[in-house]
Amino acid sequence: MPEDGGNEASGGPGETVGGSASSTAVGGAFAAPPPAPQRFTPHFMGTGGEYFRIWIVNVALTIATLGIYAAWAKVRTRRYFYSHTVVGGRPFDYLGQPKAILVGHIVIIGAIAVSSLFKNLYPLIGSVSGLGVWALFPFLMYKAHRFKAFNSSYRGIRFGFNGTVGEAYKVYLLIPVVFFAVTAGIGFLATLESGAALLLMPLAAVVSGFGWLVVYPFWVFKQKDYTFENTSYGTLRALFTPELKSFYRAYGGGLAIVVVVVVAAVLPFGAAIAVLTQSLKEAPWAGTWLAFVPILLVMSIFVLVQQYLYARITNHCWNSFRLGSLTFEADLSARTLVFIRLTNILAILATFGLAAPWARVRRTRYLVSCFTVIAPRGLEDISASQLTADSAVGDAAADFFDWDVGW
Amino acid sequence: MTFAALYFDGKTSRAHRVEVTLSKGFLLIEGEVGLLPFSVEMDDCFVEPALGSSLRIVRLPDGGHLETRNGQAAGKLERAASSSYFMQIVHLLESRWRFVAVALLLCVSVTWGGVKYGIPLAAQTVAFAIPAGALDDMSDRTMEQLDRMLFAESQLDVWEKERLVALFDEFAAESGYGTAPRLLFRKGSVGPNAFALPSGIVVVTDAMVELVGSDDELLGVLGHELAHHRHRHSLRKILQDTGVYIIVSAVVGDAASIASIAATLPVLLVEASYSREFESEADETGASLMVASGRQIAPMVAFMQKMAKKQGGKTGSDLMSSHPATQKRIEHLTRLAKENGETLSVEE
Repeated sequence: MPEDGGNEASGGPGETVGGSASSTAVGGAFAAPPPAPQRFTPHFMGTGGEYFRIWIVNVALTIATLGIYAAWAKVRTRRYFYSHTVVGGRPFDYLGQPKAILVGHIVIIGAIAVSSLFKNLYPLIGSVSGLGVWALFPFLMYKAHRFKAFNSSYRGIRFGFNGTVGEAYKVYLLIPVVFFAVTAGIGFLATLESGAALLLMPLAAVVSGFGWLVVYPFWVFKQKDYTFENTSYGTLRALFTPELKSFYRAYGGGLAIVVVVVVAAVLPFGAAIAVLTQSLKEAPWAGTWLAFVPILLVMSIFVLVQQYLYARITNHCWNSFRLGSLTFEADLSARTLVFIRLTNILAILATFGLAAPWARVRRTRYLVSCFTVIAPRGLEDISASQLTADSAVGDAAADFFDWDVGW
Repeated sequence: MTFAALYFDGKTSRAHRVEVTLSKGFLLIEGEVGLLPFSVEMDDCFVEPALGSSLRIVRLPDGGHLETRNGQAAGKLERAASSSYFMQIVHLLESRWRFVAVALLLCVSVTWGGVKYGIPLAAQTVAFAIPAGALDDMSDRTMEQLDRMLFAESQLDVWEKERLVALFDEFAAESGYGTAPRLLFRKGSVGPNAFALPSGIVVVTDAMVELVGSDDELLGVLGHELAHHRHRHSLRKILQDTGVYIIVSAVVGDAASIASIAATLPVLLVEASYSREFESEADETGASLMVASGRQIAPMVAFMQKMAKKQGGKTGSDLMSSHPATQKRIEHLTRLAKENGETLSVEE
């Protein structure tokens, strides 16, 4: 569920909707709409040094105010990333209100504090509260989508989210529940009928073991469909036409990467480490540091697969997405993303976290540059539509649990 | 004062190039052909606080807004309109490297001080405030789970168990500890092991009973566990680990996705260091219980040496391990024994 990747950039590539005229600079914004379709490439204008100063002041004030400032810090961070993402010479605008976000924080942190205390004191009740998170997850996702869209604006026109709570439950909860019910059902039948058990037992094993691998891409597909199809910009409605098989291809590719890397790198590497550890008995201190090598290795594989999936799925989604007459192109390179992510992690570890702002700016700059907006009639004649505001509870939850609300 | 800006009316995405004049508490907005000049009261406008090199934005009462690169003009409007003084200060802090340095210093020292003193102190306070009834409940549940997952019934002779329980009771009384908690015996795959649950119940594995060379060595081990209970270590550990998790995710939470991977390492390191502090405290208190009961610390040393031998060359550095490297614990206990005036047989 916390399918990660782009949410490191304060709202994924969502901020990049729109377009910056690659041909016409700022001046183009004032010209009469030309007849030929315009292509806009977004630019990210933020710098690591500038964001570092905002970030460290955010952290310091959050500490000094015992966490209360976190809501203001969040707004400042988002405003920074939005307002430095420029399309057609105009920046995005973040309209979220710190006080609304503060209320969201209080609700979510309170709920988590209570449930985690229970989890430690009474494991049984703890597991029930885990179920509670699942039961609320779709509702909170719905809220988070609405909050994010409503508070994102470009050229004075807000984005909107038109999905319903019912749909959210179908997408986020019904699919995994049905899957686990089917698995459990087959397992239960296998224990009942001794004759059929011969047939059902292996089936149950296969379904529970590999079933989720088969269902998961479909689940992600439905989630993306919910997110993209329900997004609007002013009066422009979305048209989302992704292909299910592209999702299966992407996840198949991810699986293949895991297999290849494990066979080609991990096994020989592991053997080498075992030999080294054996011979390092004389210098035990080296052994401890050697223990970090497998951690780094597992982390690298994780990053490799995660970024590969992120690139392929993001590309496919945006290439199948329209907003009114606007179409989009996305051309993320998995290789570049992996390189950026790995070097970012190393930099963050080496600086005890101080490189985090720089890392985030660097990744955002690359992500933003991979999109193109094609506007047949320019970006100047889009009208606003009636929208209603929403609370920030879902936003806070999505942030805390690292749920993907990215467009 | 007059400055150039872009005006968006909030109804369409069209940008209007306008000239904005501030006079007598009103903003007069005049644009290109097709946009009728209009004016708004400055009090009804909101000037978004400055943020790095971002464009300055003035929100107008009808849902429209102005964008300008003219920071000076925006500053003047800020003083004339409703805006947040606090955010002006924040922007000032963000703009000067020396304030940034102060913020950095604050972050580093608070993180270090919190982890080193703040969290342990808070956890200690909370741990001693939790009523015993809640601890009993929690420990019974934990024991049920352990029995299901790890342990089988002890294979020790019934009379031997009775004898050891009596010995344990006697030890607790003699050492001034008070009433001994329940002592449970279990057989398990965890090797020679002993631990105390938050309610005080002490669990010993069969392998441990077989490993110790004498009753006094076993009492040394049990004294260590009694000390854990007296200091409520297990409960404090849970609370402290939760605290560290919250602090680390708050500090690096800005880059959530990276943090989830990278933050595990510092969290593990800090948690391991908490455990090591608890272990040496338990060694210290355990040793004093031995002395108070008229016994010596030497059996504890002997037992630790036996453990060290059993672990073989696997001493390792103690950076990650929960117990201080065995060698360090031996040195610590040896020093305590010498302070107690004991003469130790030197290990060959």
